[in-house]
Amino acid sequence: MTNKYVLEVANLSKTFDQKKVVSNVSFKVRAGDIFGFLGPNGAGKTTIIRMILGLINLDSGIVKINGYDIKEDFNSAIKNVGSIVETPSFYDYLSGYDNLTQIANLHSDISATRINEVFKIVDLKNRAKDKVKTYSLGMKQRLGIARALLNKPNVVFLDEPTNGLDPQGMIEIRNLITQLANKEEITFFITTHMLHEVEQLCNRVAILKEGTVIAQDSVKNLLNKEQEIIEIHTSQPKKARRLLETTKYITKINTSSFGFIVELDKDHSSKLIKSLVSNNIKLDYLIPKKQSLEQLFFALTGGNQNP
Amino acid sequence: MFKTKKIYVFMLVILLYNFLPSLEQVMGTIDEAGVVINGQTTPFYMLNFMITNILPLFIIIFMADMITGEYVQGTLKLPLLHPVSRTKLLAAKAIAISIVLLSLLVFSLILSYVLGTAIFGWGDQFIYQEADQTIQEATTYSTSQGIIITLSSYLLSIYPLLAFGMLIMFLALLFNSSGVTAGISIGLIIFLSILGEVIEAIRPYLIINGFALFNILFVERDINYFTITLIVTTLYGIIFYLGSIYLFQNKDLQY
Ligand SMILES: Nc1ncnc2c1ncn2[C@@H]1O[C@H](COP(=O)(O)OP(=O)(O)O)[C@@H](O)[C@H]1O
Ligand SMILES: [Mg+2]
Repeated sequence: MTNKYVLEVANLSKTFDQKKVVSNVSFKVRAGDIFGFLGPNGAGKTTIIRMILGLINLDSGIVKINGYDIKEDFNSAIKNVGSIVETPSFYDYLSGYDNLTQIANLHSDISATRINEVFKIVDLKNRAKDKVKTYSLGMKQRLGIARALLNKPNVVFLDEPTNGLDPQGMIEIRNLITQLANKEEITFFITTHMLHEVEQLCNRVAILKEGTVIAQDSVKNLLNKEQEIIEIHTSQPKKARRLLETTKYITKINTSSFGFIVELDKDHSSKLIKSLVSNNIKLDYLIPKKQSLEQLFFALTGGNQNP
Repeated sequence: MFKTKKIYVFMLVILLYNFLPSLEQVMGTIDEAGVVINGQTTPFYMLNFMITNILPLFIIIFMADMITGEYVQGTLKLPLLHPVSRTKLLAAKAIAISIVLLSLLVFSLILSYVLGTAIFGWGDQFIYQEADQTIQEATTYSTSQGIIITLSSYLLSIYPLLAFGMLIMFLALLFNSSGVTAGISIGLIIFLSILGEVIEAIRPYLIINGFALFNILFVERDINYFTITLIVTTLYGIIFYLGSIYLFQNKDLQY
């Protein structure tokens, strides 16, 4: 792939019945990313996936997949794409195998071997001949992924792939995604309303709120903003407080039962430790706290989060 | 397509329809009407009978389900997530429905030849006599001509039914509901046939008049009327196909 961006979305907007559901959404996905598209229910995630895949007309904006504009050359744009939009839909009265055959027939170059291959990848081989109506939700999700892999895509769109699954099913799907990203070098675009899913799975994230992207960065950067948080467990709180209050790089001090939780400028934690030690403050523990995406998400979206 | 239950239900309905002539024979209604019927002409009678009711109903139900049903189930979009254009997808649906229709017609044709011959005997020529005709006025062909005419009539009927199917496709894309589409389509058939009865001059220009194409060609044998009906039917088919494409191109697929 000569183009380093697998997906480029610029200024996407959509209005339904005079209600602006997507406004000016822009982002780029690089080859090799597992890109998380995070937002609460109703934020517009599915609508945006539908717009990217050409199922919904764009009011305005540009979508390029693998360098091809979907409006100008849809067939080239969609050729190496795999996708599941919302819950995967199948012909229930057909077997899993027959469902995939139907899609394989739309491409000139998908062999029967490839169909067997994708069944193996998602570990559904022994159920391939059963009718889809006998499948569990988790199996349907895996069959959907198998279908999305048929044409050996370089980018796969998954719309809330673990939604509604039991914990075991969620783990299976996440492992499958990670494995495909690593082994087959597939770029993933995954929507979710679950923060920990992004933390576990994704390297990049865009956060969507009411149709607008309010933050986008690498997951690492977002989690390691300018602030660090440290728990200070001490039996000399008064002495410690005096020191902390006069330390410039500490921005916030919260008192707690064991001592303090302080926020400080990034990369100053070792300085703080030295200073505490040299002032002979008795320390029980110092615990660095990672800022969770969850806290960040709350801060950004104003707390109306769906679990 | 052939794994849905619907098609077998329709085959069953056709089977029952094909027993109607024998029922009429038993009840004596055919003797009463004084009409000659034999195994050679049973398929032709059956087609004349089915073309205005059960066959359009097949089209309505299959098409409404294929467009709206699949749309709501989310399977309609699947090909569109691959290099398949919306125009091609609609064309594929039209072809699919033609294949189903052809299979049902072949099934019915064979069945009525077999049942007709079993009940009325094969007979020595093809005689098609309408209830208000004397035997002298009846349409007759030799056996071999009769077979060719019967086969042609069945094949020819696919054409107006498909044109009618384009109308249903258009309505299904317009209303997004198979119930509404079926209701309106059935209402439309009834309305148009009444309209055709009341204002006879308008009849050649109604979409449902296309159902009589084979009858115009082989019974009425009016080539001008046939040509007009053929053109009108074709125009309806094209207009509603293009209309369907227009609606589909601009449609936001929400399921
Ligand atoms: N066809 C539609 N007509 C009107 N509003 C819609 C339509 N589709 C989606 N919406 C609205 O758009 C918003 C975003 O929906 P959606 O993209 O499904 O969100 P998400 O996938 O993030 O949960 C919601 O408020 C929803 O009610
Ligand atoms: Mg959604």
